Amino acid sequence: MCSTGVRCAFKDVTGDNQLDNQLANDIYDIIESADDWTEVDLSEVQGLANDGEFVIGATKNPGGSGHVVLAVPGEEVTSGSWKGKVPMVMDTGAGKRNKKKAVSYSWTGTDKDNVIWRKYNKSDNNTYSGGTMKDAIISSTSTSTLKPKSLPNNSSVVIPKISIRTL
Amino acid sequence: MRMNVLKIIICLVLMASCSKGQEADTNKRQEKIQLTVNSLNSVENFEKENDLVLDYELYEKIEVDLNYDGIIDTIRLLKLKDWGDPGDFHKVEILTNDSKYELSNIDGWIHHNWKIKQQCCSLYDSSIKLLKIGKNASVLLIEGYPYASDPPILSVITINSKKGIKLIMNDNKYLFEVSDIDKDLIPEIKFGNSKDEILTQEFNL
Repeated sequence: MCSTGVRCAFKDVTGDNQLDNQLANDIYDIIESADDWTEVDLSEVQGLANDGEFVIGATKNPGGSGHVVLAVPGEEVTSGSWKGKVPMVMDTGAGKRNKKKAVSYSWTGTDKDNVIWRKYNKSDNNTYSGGTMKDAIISSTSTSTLKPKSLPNNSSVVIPKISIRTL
Repeated sequence: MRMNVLKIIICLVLMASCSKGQEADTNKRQEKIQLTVNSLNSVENFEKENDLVLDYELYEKIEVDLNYDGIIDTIRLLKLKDWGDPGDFHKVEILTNDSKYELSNIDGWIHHNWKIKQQCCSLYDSSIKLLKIGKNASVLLIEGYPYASDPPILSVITINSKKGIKLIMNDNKYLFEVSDIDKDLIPEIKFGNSKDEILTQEFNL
């Protein structure tokens, strides 16, 4: 199911459980109206995915199953049926196990105007190559320098914003 | 004891005859299903809307006597050149000695492995499925690329020596089975939106 792939990726990357147990039509409703999600234009989708943002594309089908995909990093390709550049998406829908394929393999060109694109904006996260790290709030009773313990030496990981609150 | 055994046998015979009756009723009901012929997003319309001319290349050529007149007929499957979007082929051309028929689909049909239950009637089995119907007709089954969470388009074309060539079904359905359920040499197909909702249709030509 398309919703399973997007749900799992969303929880793994963000730690947020708002999409748990939701099917495609439900996910459409959530991302269309919740404050955590910002509308983005098709032309912005690939750039946002490459910047590590979590962007979902969705259609709703009131009489049946809707459909959801997750934008993934990559390069846009030209689609004849969508009449222009299209982003790469992960699609785990019926008959598809696409880790990274043009979105024109998910919807027909005639459906493209029905697809909504939304970016998750709940946390102000930085990104690293494996996904998104959450912000961390570290409290200390002194003003001594704090050093993350879990990161190995010479790590190339970009450390997220750390707010230091002195007690 | 003997009476009990006799009663059980009578019950079993009655149950078997009831279920046969039900099966016959079901078959009668099945023949009344109206097939849906949705219009395809044709390549010609796409070209017109976008002021384009798209080129094709040959994907597969099938030569077989479709209407049993002793003359070999041709089916050509054509693919859009440098297209990049789904579809192994986008146009079907059928040429018999007295008819020519073309059908195109910008959303594409695909080469299918046809992992379906089939018990009869195969005439050709590759990107398309071709079935023999009675003594003077064939039916061509082709499946579209599965977009979104919908079943793929199932297109069904009949080729009849008397009634010509026509599209009799074009609908988002899964094909589950081909078999001659009532043994009249005319196959039935089982199709539907899911395994929980299977319809059966005989090709009444």
